Amino acid sequence: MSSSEIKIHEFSTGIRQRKTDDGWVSLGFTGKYMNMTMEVPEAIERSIANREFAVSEGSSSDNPAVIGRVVGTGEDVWSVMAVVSRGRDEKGRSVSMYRYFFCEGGENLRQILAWWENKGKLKFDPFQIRHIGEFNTFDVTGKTPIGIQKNILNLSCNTNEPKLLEPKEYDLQSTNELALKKVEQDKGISWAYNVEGLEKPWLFQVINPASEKAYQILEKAIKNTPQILAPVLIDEEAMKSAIRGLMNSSQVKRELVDVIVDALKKDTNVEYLHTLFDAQGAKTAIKQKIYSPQMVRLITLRAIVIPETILEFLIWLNVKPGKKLDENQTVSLEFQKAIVSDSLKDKLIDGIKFLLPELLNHPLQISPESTYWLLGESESAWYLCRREFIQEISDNLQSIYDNHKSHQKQKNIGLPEVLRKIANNSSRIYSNSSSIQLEEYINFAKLFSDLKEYSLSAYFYQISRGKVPKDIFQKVYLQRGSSSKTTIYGLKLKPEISWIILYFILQEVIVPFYVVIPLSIIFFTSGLFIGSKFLGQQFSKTQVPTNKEQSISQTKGSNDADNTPETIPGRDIGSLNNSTAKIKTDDKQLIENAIKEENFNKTTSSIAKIVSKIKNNRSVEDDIIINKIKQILNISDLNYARIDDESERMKLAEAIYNYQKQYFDNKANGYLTEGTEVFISLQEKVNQSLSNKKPK
Amino acid sequence: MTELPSSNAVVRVIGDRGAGKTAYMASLARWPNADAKSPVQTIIPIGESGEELVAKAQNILEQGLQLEATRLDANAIDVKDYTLRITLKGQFSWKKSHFRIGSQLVNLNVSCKDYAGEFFTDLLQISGSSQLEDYLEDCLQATGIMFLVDGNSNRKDKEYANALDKFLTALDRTDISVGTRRIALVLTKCEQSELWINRHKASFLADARFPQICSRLKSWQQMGVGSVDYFTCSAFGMLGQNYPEPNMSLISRGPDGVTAVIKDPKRWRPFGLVAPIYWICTGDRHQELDKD
Repeated sequence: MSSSEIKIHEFSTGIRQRKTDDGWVSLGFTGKYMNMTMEVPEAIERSIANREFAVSEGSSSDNPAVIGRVVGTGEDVWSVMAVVSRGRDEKGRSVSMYRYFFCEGGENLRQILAWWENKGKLKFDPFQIRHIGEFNTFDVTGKTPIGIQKNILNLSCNTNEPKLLEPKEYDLQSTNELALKKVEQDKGISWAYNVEGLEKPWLFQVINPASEKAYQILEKAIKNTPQILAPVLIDEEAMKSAIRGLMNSSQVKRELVDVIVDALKKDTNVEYLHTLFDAQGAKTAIKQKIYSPQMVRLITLRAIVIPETILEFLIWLNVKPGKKLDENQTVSLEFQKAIVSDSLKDKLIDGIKFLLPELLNHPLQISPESTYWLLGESESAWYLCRREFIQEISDNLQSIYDNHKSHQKQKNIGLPEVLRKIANNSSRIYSNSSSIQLEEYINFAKLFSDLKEYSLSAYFYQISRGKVPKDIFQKVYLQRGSSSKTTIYGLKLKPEISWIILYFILQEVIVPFYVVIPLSIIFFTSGLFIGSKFLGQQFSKTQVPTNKEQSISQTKGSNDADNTPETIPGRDIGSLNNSTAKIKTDDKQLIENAIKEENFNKTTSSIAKIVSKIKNNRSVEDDIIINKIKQILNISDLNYARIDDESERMKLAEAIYNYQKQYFDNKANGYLTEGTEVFISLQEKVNQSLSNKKPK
Repeated sequence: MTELPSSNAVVRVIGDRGAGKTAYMASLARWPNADAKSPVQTIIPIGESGEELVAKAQNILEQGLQLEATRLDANAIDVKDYTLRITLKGQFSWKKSHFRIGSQLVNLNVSCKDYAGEFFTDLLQISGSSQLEDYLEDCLQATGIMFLVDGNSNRKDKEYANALDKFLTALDRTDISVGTRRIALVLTKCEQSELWINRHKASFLADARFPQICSRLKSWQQMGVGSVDYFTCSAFGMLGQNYPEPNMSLISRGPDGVTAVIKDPKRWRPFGLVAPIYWICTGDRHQELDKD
């Protein structure tokens, strides 16, 4: 083959055929292509699957329709021409038969056309057998397109719409030339010639209708172009198949999830995603309350993929406090459990972020219990982001306090909208915590109590009710160990006083006997007084569900001797199952040991040592070194400034433990000791990584 | 809007090429010229594939044209899933006399895939093909199978019984979680007079015309893996009350079956379409739907 020749490949709709006196009939489709001269490139296959060549049913005529299109992206670009003619099956039914011709590269439609006309306008023929490698060649030297009707190029076609030509006015070559002239950025070259109807006419630049009737049908169809079209890079049919596959099966196929996750990384907007879900009936299912397992899975998937719909999902699924799971909720949870993966985590977090303002502002629509259903049920997909959610709230409350302390009221600390009101009222909150009653935060208090994050729960009780219910207070107390501090994120907790509370206070603080008696009497009488006045009406409102409580003794042992008043909620060791830190039950003991004062002090002094050693050799800020250590230990979320908090200690101990396990298998204990192999290795790694990247 | 009692079903429609599967689905979704006395209150197609069915009914059947043959998709996941909500007026169920709905409405939510006939005629013949396995895998989702047979194709009884045999065997080997299924044998094109006169005796008619299919289905039922029932229907229906004639223009008639188009689209009223779906959804026969 000389360099001026191009290869023209082909393939056809696959059928079983039978010869007849006047040609052939189809005995049925094979579901594959036939008469291929090469394997069909994927870009072409996907374009066909997306109905980009499809004429509408019943509209192919004896005079074949011709569709031209450039498909693919980057290096993988093809010029493709489909010739669509009508065939019949043995039962007399009409069938549209496609014969495709294609060439590598995006500039060859003109050549394919010239060759095709030269060859006598080949159309579908099951008896023109072709084999792999038997492509056609066409010498393109010195050939100029012939017979172009010059006036076609003068046609005005500057709109984004397909140009619908007057029927029978222009020939095939001219149709192609007009499309070449009208190349638009978001639509590659595409035209349809002699068509009665097209499945997706809006995907064409130039359409040449077969008749006046076809003109009218196509004109109407173009007017009805969907408002939102698929973004260019999205394989819409693959997305639809994936959604369909996921909603229709109780077993989740990972490859289908991957199709969706990959598409989400591309240029997808919410409106477009909605059209995909509505195409499967999401809107109707919500409106008509259709609760088939398919629809439950569809709406669940939508709540994951389009986080804005999470509230609608919860309302539709009718998650009610204290009720046993119904069939639909069970189907949803089973699906969530099967589909959840780290690749969806960002979307899941977004969902929670959409829910929080609703919880705050529309308590009638959504209850803390239904939010708990998402974050607290281990089968729920959103359980995956529970830890991030708690951490974020906790960090934000800390920032509010830090900001308050430093009197930087105007400084924008990037707070989520739901916590803005706390920041705005911070001076009142921190000066007299019982005077403030930001009532809307009561739902947060209840949610965190359900989540067994009692410190956060207590915080929100304090700011919403001006006091903390005694059971919550006790739990905070137990969770935080024997510290006598009752301050969280700088906020003084005011418990509802009872004898039990008194017992806890007195047990810790050594109080002379002569003080105890009068104190008790004062508490008792004032308790009676307050109780008679408020408790009847208030307590019923603030009562916290206790059915979900469990023993919290495992986090009880921490010893917080630090002077910083803040703590963040103690974490349930059992829930620490993120990807980086999976701690076996057997090893919990070691971690608990590592966060004990005497051991943990070794860790902090080792880190201080590493910092000072490195600073001896190079000028670098402390926090850059700390960040490097965090990076090496794989604990990006550690807040070292608050290392005295139990949760941060735990994180650090776990990370050290994992690091030791990974590199020094048998010596893992969860704390650092100066001069040990682990210590030296960590110091060296920090040094190395600082050398690799020059610090600012 | 309060939630009505509802039943769900996932259905796969199988049968020979030209048995009338797509016409059945399109007529059901379109539900033209509904009879006020019918127990069917409404039929709503859900999602874009449901709307495509309606468009097929309007643009092709209603124009007196013939539907094209359904393409055999390479993968079962690409097969359109037609979702319909059928709302029925309440009825008294004799079988479950405690389950009285009174005048309340009942919803049937059906998700239904119309397999190309080639699945039945060709794929089942090639055992071990990955395409067949893919389709069988998809079939496992189904709580009900509608086996549509052109009532006029009795000469193909043996051929169909063999294919059905292969289908049931293959399904049995694919299904590890032995669930019970319902298989409805639906005789289509019963507007043809010899079928129409016996349309209310579906079981008798099926047995008389397709004895081998019926015997195969009965032995399947005896194995305890599911239940079988028999139905008659016509996607085109009849014209006239006292001297009824089929509402169709014949294209061809042979021992392999009948092909036709609608004669008078304005008076197009199909019959028997909802009864098999009700049975697949509930396990009960609907007295009123059977009188259709």
